[in-house]
Amino acid sequence: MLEVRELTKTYGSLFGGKRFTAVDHVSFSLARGKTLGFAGKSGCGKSTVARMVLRLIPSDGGEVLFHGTDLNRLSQRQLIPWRKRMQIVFQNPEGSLDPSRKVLDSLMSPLAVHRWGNRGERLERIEQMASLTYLSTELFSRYPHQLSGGEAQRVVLCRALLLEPELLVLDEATSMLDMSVQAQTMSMLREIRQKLGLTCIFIGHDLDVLRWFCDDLIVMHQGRIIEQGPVEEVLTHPKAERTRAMVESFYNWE
Amino acid sequence: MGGEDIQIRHLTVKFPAREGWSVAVDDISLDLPSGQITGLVGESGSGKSVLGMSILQLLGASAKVEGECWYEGKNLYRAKEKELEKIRGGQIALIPQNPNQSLNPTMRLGRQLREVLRLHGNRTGEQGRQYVLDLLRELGMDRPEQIGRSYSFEMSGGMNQRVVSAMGLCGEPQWMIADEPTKGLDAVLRRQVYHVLKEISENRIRSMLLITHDLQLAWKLCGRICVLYSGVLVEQGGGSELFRNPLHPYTRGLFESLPAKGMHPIPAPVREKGEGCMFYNRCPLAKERCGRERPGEYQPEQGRIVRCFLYA
Repeated sequence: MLEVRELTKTYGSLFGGKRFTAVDHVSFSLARGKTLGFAGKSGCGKSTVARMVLRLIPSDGGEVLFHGTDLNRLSQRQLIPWRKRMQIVFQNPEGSLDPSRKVLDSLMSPLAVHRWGNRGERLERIEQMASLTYLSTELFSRYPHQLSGGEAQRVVLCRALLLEPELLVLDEATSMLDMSVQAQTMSMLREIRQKLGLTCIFIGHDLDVLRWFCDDLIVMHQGRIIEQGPVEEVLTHPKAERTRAMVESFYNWE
Repeated sequence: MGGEDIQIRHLTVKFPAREGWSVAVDDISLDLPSGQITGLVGESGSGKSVLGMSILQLLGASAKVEGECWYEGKNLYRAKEKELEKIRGGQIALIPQNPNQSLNPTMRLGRQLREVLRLHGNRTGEQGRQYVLDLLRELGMDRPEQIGRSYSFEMSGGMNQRVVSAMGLCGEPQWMIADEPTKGLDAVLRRQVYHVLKEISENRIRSMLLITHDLQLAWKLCGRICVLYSGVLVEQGGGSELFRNPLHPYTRGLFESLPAKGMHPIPAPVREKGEGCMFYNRCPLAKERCGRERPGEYQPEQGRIVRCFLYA
């Protein structure tokens, strides 16, 4: 379903000089219904990869083939129908919600943008997704600052699912949540993934969560893929030195 | 080092809500003994940060704070702004959540560190500079001389965490409140923060309040742990005892939700919330009485306090 080839991103330095390579010729493929995890230190380029896959930021080379169409070659206008087929949830839910709009208003907007149904149908759809994401309708009239982190993240998730995307990218979506809320959110995600047949990219740094949720795992370091394979295999028998260090520092603190 | 215990008595914090008040902290009495790390754990919205912030009156004007917080013979909730200026950072320091957002992005880090030193007025010039450099080195920074001319956005989260911690330590306080120090950090940084806090607690400040949802961190660092649920203190106990044998159904649920244990979530509300126990609507062991009556504090074993009728 998704095939990424030689994806690259470089940034110019603030003070001139050599360009910084954030993502360096990254290639991978993802089959329908599978979940691919990304791990690595912060700054290793894993989020940048995800953003380029959805073309939230332009890439400096490479191809993103979604059902065989190279998204990098489409114009912004051509991209619109593809956009609703892929959604992303970021780490910081408060930053993903417009502080001046009530929850219901934020939930309405993707349906409005993609001209989905009439108002009644939209409301019905929102209520349906809200119950899937354990979102109480009481929250609809609140502003984002009146929500807890877990509630805000469920609003964002609910919003991402409204258009029934095929590909859902979760960019450290649960790393700001506490354990019980994370457990709730993750079980909910697994349930929803199954129900809707979602294909997922999951970026995270809790190795136990990655183990629990992903089929395959990619480990990145300084913009490159250093290891790739079935999640259990990679974490139990890491081959790359960096992967070993990551596993070691996660499980052993002394 | 040293310093006195912090004693919180009948703390209730409310925020104005659409209808009436929203209660964030509900009549909590708690001793924070000096000389050790007390962990405050609970889920988001449980009131743990509100409790921590209340100690230094950092909650903002809309919060209604009732109760007392005794420290060195003073009730901090009644303290005047002038007194508080001395206490904040000078006696009790707060290491805020999210170090990146706590630093000014338009000001070089050196200048921000100098400002803190000037405010506390105990070290200036070269002496102050050396003191901060030593601090940063102690916190595990390799070349602290280089950070003075940097901006916070050029640094990693772990680096900024150390800068903010160093700022907290500049006033040589007796107490430190660390609010969610590992939130959102990757595995390597999280371990670093653990070592930073361990280092501080062993060599600088022994009395600490650690507010966290990171149970592994709490288990590794805390002598005593308090579990908060919905603004109520549901369980207290020694760190290792509490982890070995959690008593309150909520605490048990919290441990079951750990990724290493398979992330079994605490059930979403299965019944109407009653007048009684805060956890009643989600509790797998709830009895009829739990919905009617608020459980008191029971002490099933030495040093353990649980708010649950199971131990009545």
